[in-house]
Amino acid sequence: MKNLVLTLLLFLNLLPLSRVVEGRAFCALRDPVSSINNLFPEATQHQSLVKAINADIRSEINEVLPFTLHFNELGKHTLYVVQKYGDAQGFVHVRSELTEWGLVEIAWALELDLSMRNLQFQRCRIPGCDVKHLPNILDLTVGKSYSEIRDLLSKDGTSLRPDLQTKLGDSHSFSYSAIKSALKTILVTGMAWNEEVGELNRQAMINRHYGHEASVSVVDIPVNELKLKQLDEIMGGGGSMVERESVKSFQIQREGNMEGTIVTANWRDGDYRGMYHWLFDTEKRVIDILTIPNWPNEQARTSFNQLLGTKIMDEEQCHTAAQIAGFELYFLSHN
Amino acid sequence: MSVLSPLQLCIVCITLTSTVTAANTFAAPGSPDSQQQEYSRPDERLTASFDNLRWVIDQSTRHNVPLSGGNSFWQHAIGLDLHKVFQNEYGDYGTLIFQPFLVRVENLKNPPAFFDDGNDWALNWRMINFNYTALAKGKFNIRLGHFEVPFGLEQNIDTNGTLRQYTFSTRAIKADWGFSVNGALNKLDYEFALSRGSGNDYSSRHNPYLFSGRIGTPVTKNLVFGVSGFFGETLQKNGTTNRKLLAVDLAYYFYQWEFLLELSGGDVDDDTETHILTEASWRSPMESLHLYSQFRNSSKKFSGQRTSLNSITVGIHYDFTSSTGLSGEIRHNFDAALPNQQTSNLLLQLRVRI
Repeated sequence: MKNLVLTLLLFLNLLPLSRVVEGRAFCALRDPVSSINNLFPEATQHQSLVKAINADIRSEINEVLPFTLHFNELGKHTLYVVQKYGDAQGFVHVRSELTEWGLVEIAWALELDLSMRNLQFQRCRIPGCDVKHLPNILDLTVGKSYSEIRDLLSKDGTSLRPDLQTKLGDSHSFSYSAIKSALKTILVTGMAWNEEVGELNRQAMINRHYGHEASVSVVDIPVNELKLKQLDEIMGGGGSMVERESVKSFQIQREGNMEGTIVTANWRDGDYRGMYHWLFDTEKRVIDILTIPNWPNEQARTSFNQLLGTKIMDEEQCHTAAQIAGFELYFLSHN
Repeated sequence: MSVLSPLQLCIVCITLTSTVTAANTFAAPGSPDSQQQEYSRPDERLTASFDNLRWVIDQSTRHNVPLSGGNSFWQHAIGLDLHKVFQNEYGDYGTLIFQPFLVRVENLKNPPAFFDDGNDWALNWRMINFNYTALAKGKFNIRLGHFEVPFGLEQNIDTNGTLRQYTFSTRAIKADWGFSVNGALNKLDYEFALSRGSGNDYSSRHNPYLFSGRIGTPVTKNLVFGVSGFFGETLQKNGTTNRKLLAVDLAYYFYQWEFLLELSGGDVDDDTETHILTEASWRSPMESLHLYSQFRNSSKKFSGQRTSLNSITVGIHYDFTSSTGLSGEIRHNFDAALPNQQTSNLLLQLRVRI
């Protein structure tokens, strides 16, 4: 009988099943409810979104950072969408990071645009961790975007900046591990939960500008091939920051009348990769712009925010990268 | 071979039905697409029901070799480990754990009650329960089904399918059918349960019952302290055993070291028992290697005489990959006066989860 069982065991392991690995029994899984309640005291409920973190995401992270997920970080993970009476307030994402003292588990609280809001140690087995290290990590990360946190590292990303190493003294090594965790958390959230993060941000944008009226509906309008070709001709084959194939538009309607359009698209600026959300009204005016993760730098934020309230110009009148991006997105999403 | 009791069957049906009906509830609340999108086609409903779902096939084979001569035995287990979070437009409202296992024992003397004899197959419900979490942001939940009896160190530490175990054998029940209230407050975690007292199989034979509970500081801290109670009549092969037990447990984490202590004691039928368990363990930085040693002391009556029993265990667990682990343990009983107890045993286990 034991031979039969061993054969069965071997056979099952040779099956070409998806090898998403879950090493521990699932009854050991616990929602970080205390962390969620502490990080978002105003929240009324949360929603779990479970996704598989696979080798593709691991590779993508390695393209933009000099470190990536260790293999134990692959598998299914949960992103908690924290809500207040149905409105998303942000996310809680718990990730473990290898330090020289073992694994440290951090519950990161993210804003909807994936900038860092707060954090709490779920597990840090260093005596006095909350007293010695937490204030430093809070100081380095809270309120910062991905790019601002990336700027805390040396150019090659293998340590903290020399000035921070001096400032933090003997806790700089631990702080570096926590910064790595913060960067990976933002990237993994943006990649694995790309669709959900985009949807929640679009809804937040609609709520900001149109209120919570149930009569507002959203219609997904695909971008057609002809428009892409036309734009390519207009721009003379020149490239831009916008990945045009990724453009999606969503018409906002109230009682059958069109009120505006939200256009989303992936875009790049140097090492930065993000997703735009532009809101246009029916008169070609830019009502709102946000990007996920948050803006790569203050200059980009200022440049794009200058377009708010202005009308989209024709291509020959565009002088800045922001204006060109606006023109492209509007062109691709409108007839 | 054990079969499903009507109540077990009922709970299985309810949980499977709820998996399908919950499909309609999945949509990012308030999301733009959720306002237009409806799950109207069966295939869409099926896809939605697989959201927030984790499952693996869990297989293990275990061999017990008595080092001082005697009976060796095998135990093989294969089963499903399924975890699903249910949600509606207001957020998460519950978590289902579903772990039916088919277990084969060979040449096992004194098998658990749910085996007919020492060479038998049995359906083992490791855990099958639904925890309703929508009441108070995780601070007050209600669990229904077959769940781990909340008592002592095992409440916070994963011993599901592992060689490494704590003191449940002194109470002869690890998991039970019933309901509990549980939650995580800011400074305290708690669970209090009322259960059937019959263990793996739901049975009202001899009218067993069990009240159990533990309240402790959060497991996220480096020093964790808890107190537990266990009161009831638990079902044995021939009748029930009355237990009134209290316990205190302590866990301290220091870098990669873990130190555990559990002291329990109370009345068992007409006797008074005390149990001590200590453990020191170390994990490698990535936690793929775990080394541990345990010391146990039990004081109870055997054949009318009070006896103090001592044993030590040294164990190792190594994860070859994230899905495959090998464990080994040597248990040595210093007091071999007990019937059917070898003085030393080597246990080996290979476990694969895919």
